[in-house]
Amino acid sequence: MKYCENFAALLDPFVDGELSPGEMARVQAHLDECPACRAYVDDALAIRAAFPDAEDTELPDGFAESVMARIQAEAVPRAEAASQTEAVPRAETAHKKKPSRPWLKALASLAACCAIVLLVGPLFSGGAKTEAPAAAADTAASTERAMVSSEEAAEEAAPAEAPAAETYYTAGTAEAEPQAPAAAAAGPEEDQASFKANSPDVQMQAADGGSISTLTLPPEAASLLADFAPVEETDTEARYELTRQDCDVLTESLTQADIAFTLDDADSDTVLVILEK
Amino acid sequence: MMDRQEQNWIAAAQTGDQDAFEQLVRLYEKRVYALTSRMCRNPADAEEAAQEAFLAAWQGLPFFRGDASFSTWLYRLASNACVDVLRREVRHQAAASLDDEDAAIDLPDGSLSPHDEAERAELRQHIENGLAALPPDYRQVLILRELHQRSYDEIADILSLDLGTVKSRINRGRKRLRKILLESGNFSVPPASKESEKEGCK
Repeated sequence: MKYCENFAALLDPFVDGELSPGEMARVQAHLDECPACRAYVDDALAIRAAFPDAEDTELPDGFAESVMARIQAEAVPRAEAASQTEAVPRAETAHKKKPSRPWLKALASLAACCAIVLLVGPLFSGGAKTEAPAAAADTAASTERAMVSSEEAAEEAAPAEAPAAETYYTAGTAEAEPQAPAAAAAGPEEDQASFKANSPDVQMQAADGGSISTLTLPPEAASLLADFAPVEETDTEARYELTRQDCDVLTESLTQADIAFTLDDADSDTVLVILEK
Repeated sequence: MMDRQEQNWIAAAQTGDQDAFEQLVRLYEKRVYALTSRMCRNPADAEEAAQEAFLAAWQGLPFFRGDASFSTWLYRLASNACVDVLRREVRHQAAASLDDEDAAIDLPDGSLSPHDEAERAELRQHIENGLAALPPDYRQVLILRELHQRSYDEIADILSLDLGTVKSRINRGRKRLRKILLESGNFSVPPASKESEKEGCK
């Protein structure tokens, strides 16, 4: 079995959770394109699932019940969901608002709600940090309540532009949508594209939040940026803003072309690309 | 390696049968949780990722075409969910330690026929045999990683190895065990004629 050289060394750390979140996402994106690496990871996961004592894993109480509760709490009936694109914007059915709140759509992804509950808790209850761990401990039991209350909380949070804006932002990334596997329809990709196109709020918050990924390129990379228009240009450099997806494609091309680059990855959904002249 | 009953549940769940899907959840929940807990760093993330994996499975089932086995597909969703959860992760360490105190009760599996229980037990046995047959160096690191959920750094400490050695032993141990999976029919090899010649990624 032939493995790619670039990613072979990252596959075990990926499976073992030893990579940074940004690296995890890069490997995950690569798996969608590389059957050989995909096969290795699939088998590592299968080994893990069949490992002695995997069956003895102690699950939190009521796990299956809480999964089913979340499924039953979905507002959109299955038949309707199946006839639309894959990632149904559940938040948009609940909130008849302008589509300029795409991150609310992601918040409808219930797990995101749990994160929001934890984040909003300290923020809106006067910094009572002890509430956050308590909320975490109750996750399994209260996800249903959390979904409702966090959607409300998110509504309040939207205009607030709190200092934790960046965390709301990361909770609302396209990646927060449960990712269907490569074998499934192209729905998720289309959805991510439209999500990113409609997310000016999100990008602004990221910029204000301060933590944006930055990719620095030498002059010879200029041709690879031919498809993009710089947002800013001086004598010494040109600055571009790329989506995470475009950036991933770009870094692949850079690697292929053997061009060195520096990526300061803050896991933002937008990447600032600086092309030196 | 899909048994008849599981196939029936999958077919039913694809048309929206929640009870059938619940059987699938019960059937796979421990393995999925084992997976996520060994990929995420704390129990809270692991549980969240496991839940998300099943949610994604429910949503994606109508589109599941069966070109990979159901378990393979589900485990991919689980690893995707781990990546998503880790990317959103800002949770305080304190939250994780509280979760450790949760009462944990084993839930009953979705009931399988004796034949199918035997099949699953057989795969487990294959892996156990495979582990026993591994060179002790490889077995040791895999057990520390998979059973005891140690990080690479911890394994390096425990065994007084450097990180590179830990990684390469894990890698070789897994590759050896893949052969076991091949024999028991769980090996997910892409079409050999296409992939062995292909350049793969650059």
